[in-house]
This record gives sequence, structure tokens and C-alpha cells, in this order.
Amino acid sequence: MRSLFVKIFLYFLLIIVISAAIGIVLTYSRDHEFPPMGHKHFAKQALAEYGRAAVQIYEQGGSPALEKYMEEMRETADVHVFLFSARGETLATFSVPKRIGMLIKRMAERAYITDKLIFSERRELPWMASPLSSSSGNRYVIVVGLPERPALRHIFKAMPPAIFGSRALVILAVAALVCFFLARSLTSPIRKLRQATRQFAGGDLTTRVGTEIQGKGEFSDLGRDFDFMAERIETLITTQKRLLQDISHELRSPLARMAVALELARQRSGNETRGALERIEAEAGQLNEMIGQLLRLTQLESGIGSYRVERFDLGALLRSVVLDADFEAGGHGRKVTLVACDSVFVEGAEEMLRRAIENVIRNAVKYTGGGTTVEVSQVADRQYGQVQVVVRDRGPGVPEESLDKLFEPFFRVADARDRESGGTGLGLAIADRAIRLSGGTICAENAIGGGLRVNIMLPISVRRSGEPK
Amino acid sequence: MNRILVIDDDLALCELLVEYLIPEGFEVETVNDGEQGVEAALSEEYGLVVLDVMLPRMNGFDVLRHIREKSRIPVIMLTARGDDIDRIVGLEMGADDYLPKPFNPRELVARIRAIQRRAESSVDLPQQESAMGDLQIGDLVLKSRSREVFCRGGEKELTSVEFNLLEVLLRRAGQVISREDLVQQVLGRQLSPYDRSIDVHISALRKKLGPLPQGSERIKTVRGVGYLYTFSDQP
Repeated sequence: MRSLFVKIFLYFLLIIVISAAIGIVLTYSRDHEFPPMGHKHFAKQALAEYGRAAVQIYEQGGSPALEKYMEEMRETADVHVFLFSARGETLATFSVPKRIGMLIKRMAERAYITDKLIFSERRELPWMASPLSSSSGNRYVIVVGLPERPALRHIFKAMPPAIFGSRALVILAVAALVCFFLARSLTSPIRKLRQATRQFAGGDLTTRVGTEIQGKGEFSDLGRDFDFMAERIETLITTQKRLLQDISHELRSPLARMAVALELARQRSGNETRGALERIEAEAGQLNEMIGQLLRLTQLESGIGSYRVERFDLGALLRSVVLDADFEAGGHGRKVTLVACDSVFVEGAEEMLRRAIENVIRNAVKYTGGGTTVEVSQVADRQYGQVQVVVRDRGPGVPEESLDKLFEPFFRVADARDRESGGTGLGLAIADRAIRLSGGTICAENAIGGGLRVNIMLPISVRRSGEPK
Repeated sequence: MNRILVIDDDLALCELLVEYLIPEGFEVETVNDGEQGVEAALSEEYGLVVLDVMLPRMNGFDVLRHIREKSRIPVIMLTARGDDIDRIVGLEMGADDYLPKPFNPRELVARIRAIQRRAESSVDLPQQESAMGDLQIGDLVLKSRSREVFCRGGEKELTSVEFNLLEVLLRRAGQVISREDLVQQVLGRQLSPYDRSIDVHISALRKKLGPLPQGSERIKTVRGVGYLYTFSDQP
């Protein structure tokens, strides 16, 4: 954002400075054009005047007088005057560089032949030639050279120094001010839009640009479009959230009534119905579990769940999850142990990750062989900023071709992991979504020596100063 | 004490609960609306409130907030969403316990009885300990009889669960108390796996009391075991 502002500001300032400089140079060089536009008539008159004087002097005093006059003119007015006879001969000796001498001669010849006023073809040499007749009837050609046109560098020298002084500073300051406001007027709507976008992406769905961007134009149109989009997204997400809550409520209400009714039935019935009632209770529990997990999965996949993201110790979380899982597994003659673990901080929704890891460990407990131990270990690779959690069971493993499908909802390995083992078929799918939402990955492989190994990789949280999460 | 108020908009469930709870020895009244629920709960006719989170118009959290503004009556929240946030928010706002819906009514009865036992024992305690029941550790004063807690000179508003929890921790300050013991003594039930309510109460308590003057945590977590209230002889 800053850079766009700086870019616009500097480019416009540069353009203004360059155009000002070009303007100044052009104006000056035009002033020094020879002869100045519209002054050609005057030039002709002046030439005639010089010519008449020169002819008069020559006819009265001959070459020496003419030479003196030429000398005088050169010294006092920096004007070169040359007089040629009709035959093209110089009437006074003069010393000029050979190149200029040739030019003068050629101009004189052309003026004589065409009988017209001739300007030097080379613009930088302000010379002109004209034929003329004296009062006595003799024909001559006069060539006059004005002081040489100044070169470009002389223009700069000729400019009053004030142009480069305080006046230039004032101009520059005004230009800078104008450019600053221009750049700001262009970038400030972008900045506001960006702020709104970030806020929106951060979860504040009520964010609107509204009247923040004023006026009519592309930016305020963009602002209105953003608001329109935000409105739609907010409606969509709130509708979906409400729908999920309603589904949850509506599906669970009958289950809640059923649970109470079931208990009443149990109190009033004899032993022969006990088994059936227990079965109903178990199935209702399963149904409830599935509703919960489906909702959780939908929340994770649509990203509409509300979670508190915080920095927490993954090691501590693992210890408590393993403790609980071991307690639960103990009832089925299995064990869960934490092999290696140290304090590693990660960032995310603690409850969500706890559930994810819980699901993986419970899954392992379900399939590990009777009397065996599920091993959980955690290794931090601080160099790559990753922490790996490995859950390894001693079960039958999973066919290689099914390993990837393990994290798909309702996927079951037909032979080994059948319906009788219970579970909703959603636990690992939820773990997968939750871990990916936390910026990590999860994958499964068959361990050497039998059993399934689930690897969870999570980024280690590095507290950077001044950077908001 | 045996009068129970059920606030739930599910009429059929209310009927079933009445049918189930009356043989268990409770008197049950049901209210199907949040505003009426607040009114009834504050009428001092009931010993305990069973409150559903999902209520039309005024939701369960708002009902709880209104109740807690004026009363310390025990409240069991029924969380329907299966949402962790729901139950954490509920406990932090001063619910004494929660049950995810659908629940087993036997479990509900067990929770109600546990809360009743707790209430009775804390009524008995001041008599046993008499005026010596006041506890002072560092900058913290706990008055058993009036059930008041002062910390850094200011009175702290604690829910009854938080008060009981703090009392248990203070009476054995400097010793590690296992999570099982805490759940047993404070919530009056067995610790079951994946039950984190005691941890939520601890974290709410930490938040309300703030750290010790020297900046360290008052209630330390002993990993894999439980919690302890930091106790030092040096003032």
C-alpha cells in the first residue's frame, strides 16, 4: 500500500518536473530562434540598412575603409558584414574559419543568382545574404552574420539564476503538494478497502465499507460491490449456521425425549425386555454421536465454526488426552502410552485439535489387538518449525490401496474394520479437517512390524513481536 | 430444596421429566419460556434450576445471566448443540454443571443430588469450623460463612462451584490435589474420561483472581496429576 502511494507520488512529481524543464528549455530556445518568427521583414530592413552603409563606405573609401567598417561593426555590435561584388569577389579581406568562409561565399552566390534574401540553411549559424544595388547602379551582395546562436548549454547559462533558486523550490513544493493529494486520493480508498477485506476475512462478517469511500467513481463503485458481496456472504453463512443449529436442535430433541422415555420404560418393564432396551439405548447413542460428528464435520469443512484460536502447549494436551484414552482403553484390556513428549507450542483452536487427536487415538485403541499398547509420540523439528505426532497401533493395519481413503467420511475397510466395531466412520475425517484447518497435515501408513501408523504434522508457533495473529 | 425448576421449550420433554423426577422424590415445575424462567428462578421457591440453552426469544445464556445478577441458585445447563464453546461459556458464566442433550435422566438425577449434597455440606461447614472457617493465604481471604472472597483488597464475584473449588484448594494449599479428588469433592461425582469441566472451572477461577502479586500463577497445574494452590510462608 505504502509503495503504491510512493510510486504514484514520485511518478507524478517526476512527470511534472520533467515537463516543466522541457517547457523552460523550449521557451528559451524559441526566444533564440533566428530570425525570430515574424521578424523576417525586420531582418530584411536591417540587412538593407547595413548593406547601404557598407556600399557607401566602399564606394567612397575603397577596400581599406570597408575593412575598417567591418572591423568596427564586429567589435561594437558583434555583427559580421561582408560585401561581395557582382562577380562574387570579396571586396575586403577578412579572416574567418574556412568552413564559414565557404558558407558565406555560397550564400552570396545563391543570393545573387536568385536575387532574393537568403537565410543560412544551417540553423545554428544566423547568417543572411541579400543582393543590392547602390545609388550609382553597381550591383553587390551583402552578407551579414549575427552573433552565433547560443548552444543549449548557453541557454542554461543565460537563464536567470533565480529559476534554479527559490522560485524552483516554490514550484517544486507546490507540485509535491498536488502530487501528495493526488496519490492520497488514489490510495486511501484502496487502503480502506483493504482494511475492510482483512477485517471481513478475519471473521467479522458485519464489516462494510459503507460511506468510508466518498464520491462517485470506480473506487466507490468497488466499495459498494464489496458491501454487496459482504452482505451476501454474511446472509449465506448466518443462514447456514442457523440451519446447522436448527438441525442439531431438531434432531436431538426427539433423542432427548427418547432417552427419558427409555429410562421410564426400563423402570416399568421386566427382565425380558432389558436386552432390547439396552440395544435401543446404544443405537440412540450412536445416532446422537453421528449427528454431532456430522455437524462438526460440516462446520469444519465450511469453516463456519466459531473457535477460539490461541497459543497452547501441545505436549500438555497430548499428556491429558493420552491419560484419558488410557483410562478408557483399560476397560477393554488395552493400553495407551506416551513414548516421547516435550513442551511445544502450537497455535490453533485447542478444543478442535484435542478432538482431532482424541479421534485418532480412539481409532487406534479400537483396532489395536487385545492386550496390546497404542504408542503415542511427539517429536519437534524446530529447524523446520514442525512438530510430528505419531499414533501407532498393533492392529491388522489397512490395505495399502485404502490408506488415502481412510480420512474420507464413512469410509470403512470392508474386512478388518467392519460395522460391528462401532464408531460413526467420521472420526478420522473430522481429525483430518481439523488438522488441515490448523495448518497441519495428517497421513497414515502401515508400520513395519504390523499395525497402523498415523502421522500428524503441525506447525510450531513462533511468537513474533509486533505481528498480530 | 427438592423443588426443581425446569426451563425448556420442549413440552413433551418437560412432561417426561416430570414423570421421571417425581418418583425420585423431587417436586418439579416446568416453564417453557426464558423470561418466565428468570422470574420463576428468582422467586426463591426452587432449590435448583435445569436450564436448556436453546430457548426461543431469550436464550439460555441470557436467562443464566439474568439469574446470576440476583441469585446464586444452582443451575444445571442442558447444552443441545454438542458445542464445546457452549458448555465452556455456560460454565464460565456461572452454571454449576452441564449435561449435553440428549442425556440419560439417571445422570441428571445424579448431578442434581451431587449439587444438593454440596449445598448441604457447605451449609454444615461453617458450623463445624465456626469462626475459624475464614481462610487467609497471601493476599487472598475466603470467608466460609458469608461465602465471600476478597483478593487484593477487592471482593470477587464467584459462582458457587468456583467458591467450593477455591475452598478445597485453599484448605490444602501447597498440596497437589488430583483432578479425581477435585471432581469428587467439588462436583460430587466420579471423574470420567474426556470430562474437562473441572479444568474449565479452574481456568475461570484463575481469570477472576488474577496472578499472584509477584506475577506467577496462583493455581498451578501439575501435569497428569491435578492442581495446587501456591502456598509460600514468605509474605
